[in-house]
Amino acid sequence: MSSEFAQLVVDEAIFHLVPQRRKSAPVPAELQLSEAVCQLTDDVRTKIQANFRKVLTSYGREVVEETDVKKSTLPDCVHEYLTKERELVEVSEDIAQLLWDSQKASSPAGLLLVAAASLAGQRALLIVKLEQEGGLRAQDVVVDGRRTFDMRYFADLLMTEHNKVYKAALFSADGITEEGHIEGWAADKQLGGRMAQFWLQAFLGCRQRNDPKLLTQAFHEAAGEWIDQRVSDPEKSLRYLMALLVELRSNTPTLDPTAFARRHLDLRDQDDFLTHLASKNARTTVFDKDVARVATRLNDLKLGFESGIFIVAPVKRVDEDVEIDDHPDGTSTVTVKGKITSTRSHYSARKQDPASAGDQTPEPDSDA
Amino acid sequence: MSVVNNAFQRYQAERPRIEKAAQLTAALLRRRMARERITCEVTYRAKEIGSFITKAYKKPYADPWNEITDKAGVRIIVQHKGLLDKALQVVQTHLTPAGAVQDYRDEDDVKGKYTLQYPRLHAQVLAAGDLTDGDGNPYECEIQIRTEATDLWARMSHRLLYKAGATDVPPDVSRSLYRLIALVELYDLEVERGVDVLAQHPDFTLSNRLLAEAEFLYRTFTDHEYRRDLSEDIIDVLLETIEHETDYPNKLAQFAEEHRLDLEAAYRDYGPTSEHFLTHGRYILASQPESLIIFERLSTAKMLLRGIWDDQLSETMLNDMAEIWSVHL
Repeated sequence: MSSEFAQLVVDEAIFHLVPQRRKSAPVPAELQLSEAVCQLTDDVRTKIQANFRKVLTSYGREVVEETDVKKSTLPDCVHEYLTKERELVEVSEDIAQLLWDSQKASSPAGLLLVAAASLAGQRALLIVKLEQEGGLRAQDVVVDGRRTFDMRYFADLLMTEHNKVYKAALFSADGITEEGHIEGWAADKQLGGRMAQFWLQAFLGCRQRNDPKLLTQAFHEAAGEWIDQRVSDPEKSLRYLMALLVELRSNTPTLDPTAFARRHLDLRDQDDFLTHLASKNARTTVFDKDVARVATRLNDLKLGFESGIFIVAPVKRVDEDVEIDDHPDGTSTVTVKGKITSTRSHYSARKQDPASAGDQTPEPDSDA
Repeated sequence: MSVVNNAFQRYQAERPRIEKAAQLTAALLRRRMARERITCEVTYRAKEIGSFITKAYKKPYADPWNEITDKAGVRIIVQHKGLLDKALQVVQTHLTPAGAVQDYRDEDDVKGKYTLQYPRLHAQVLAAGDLTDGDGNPYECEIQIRTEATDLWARMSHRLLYKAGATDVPPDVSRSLYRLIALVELYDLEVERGVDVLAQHPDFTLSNRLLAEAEFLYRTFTDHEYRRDLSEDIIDVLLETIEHETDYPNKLAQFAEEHRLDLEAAYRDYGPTSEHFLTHGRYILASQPESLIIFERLSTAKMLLRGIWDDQLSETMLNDMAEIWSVHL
């Protein structure tokens, strides 16, 4: 099984309408609660199931209950459901109220779906905030004996194929810790994949298990190691390394290693790259990017030669000023274009030349 | 009440259970044959009540209930003669014998007369499952194993020769029908030869062999028909993703075993009997045998699959499969 989410099975679900809060509205909007679970046909049930398998696989982050400063009572509701203290309808009403309370005036109206599910056979609770969308439907009809199409507009569609807006969370009985806290997954398919704080903290009462700084560092190290160890062609290696540094330096709030591989690596390198990341416990799906721990290593690129020579170049100048030509005997010619403005002696604590080690004057390593 | 009447009453009452026993036996054999990569069709039936009565009256049975042993029947029809022994081996390995195997295939040569007759190959076994009759005994099931050509001849002869009943078939008609068995032998040999030759032909069979491997495994999950034309389009693309894989069929079989429960769930929810497929025509590849290769590729080489797929096939079809299998593409 590629991911445990393939073992997510939705059994039954209930919807509640969570309207938008409008201060200027003459009549205040009210939460509209359902009183019973939906009648789900098998195709609807399995479609919901498939949709959220995909959302959680692609965008899911591991989350844990925030215990230092309790911001929501949702973990208590989830715990009560998972331990069979309360049933779906009752718990879902409390969850809807919590969502309503945590939403800001700018939060759009939506439907809250709470589903009784199982994950790898364990009792689970799926919580989703959905927004309705508009769409057209064409049906062929016969009018006055002539065949034509009847076009209708629907403004209340849910989970359409290319919907970009989902907020989902999944908790299973397996995730209840010895202390009685809950752990699970949360996904936000909005804001470029970055988790909205109102969803994660104010509503779910959770925080991400993994610090984005550490995830970013793990990705940087594993990807760099793969390029260094698995890519033998120097020209390709330089191209990949440049892509890695540019990706990390970009302003995007999240990083998707799978999309990175697809955009920047040769087709037959992509699976090996992702396998390597996974073997190093680096993420292969979307995570929040934070380069704080690697920022100083994203500016310069270093080319090392067997002979001990190395070249350090600013990333932003590499494309324009550095060129590599590979030769059949495995050697390469590196051409650096530009005006030489300084020459000086250099000390490297890591790669000292034994023959001249005693002669060198120690000096700070500009590459370190 | 006569013994025949007793047997009739009992048969009428127990026939639904007998049919269920035959169905379970056929299902088991279908799965086992697929795992052994034997191309075959497996059908089942409970004897019609009319046939049971006719047989009970026609033959001097002292105990028709126990002596009529083909109340539950399963028929295995293989592609050619070379698969008969393999099919018999599967039956003997996975079902408990309830009598000696009736193997009349070489009867002519033994007698040295070279007459032509139906090459009967029947095995009597205990039916699969745990259904028992009114006395608490497990139901028996007669397994007939034939080639496609033999089956054609047997069905014809059953209608014209056996069922003629009291009416004597004119000797010249009988002889002309029996001599068709020579053609059956010839047909079987040519099919076997053709299959062997094709198996050695790398260009022609690469995609066919891959599809056949997938189909064998797929048949262990579902019996439903699939669209061959669609399979042919998809399999050529999949081939490009496994060209560097050694012993891929074995890898695929291993994958199917390791993920059997998940695959069963995937086919149940999105496969050929699902509402998605039957009503909406979605998740269409989950109703095709090549789905197994797609799931395997999604698990081990998803990027290569997507890269090659996107240049040639609809993105939605692959996304649907990735959704079922929970793979981030």
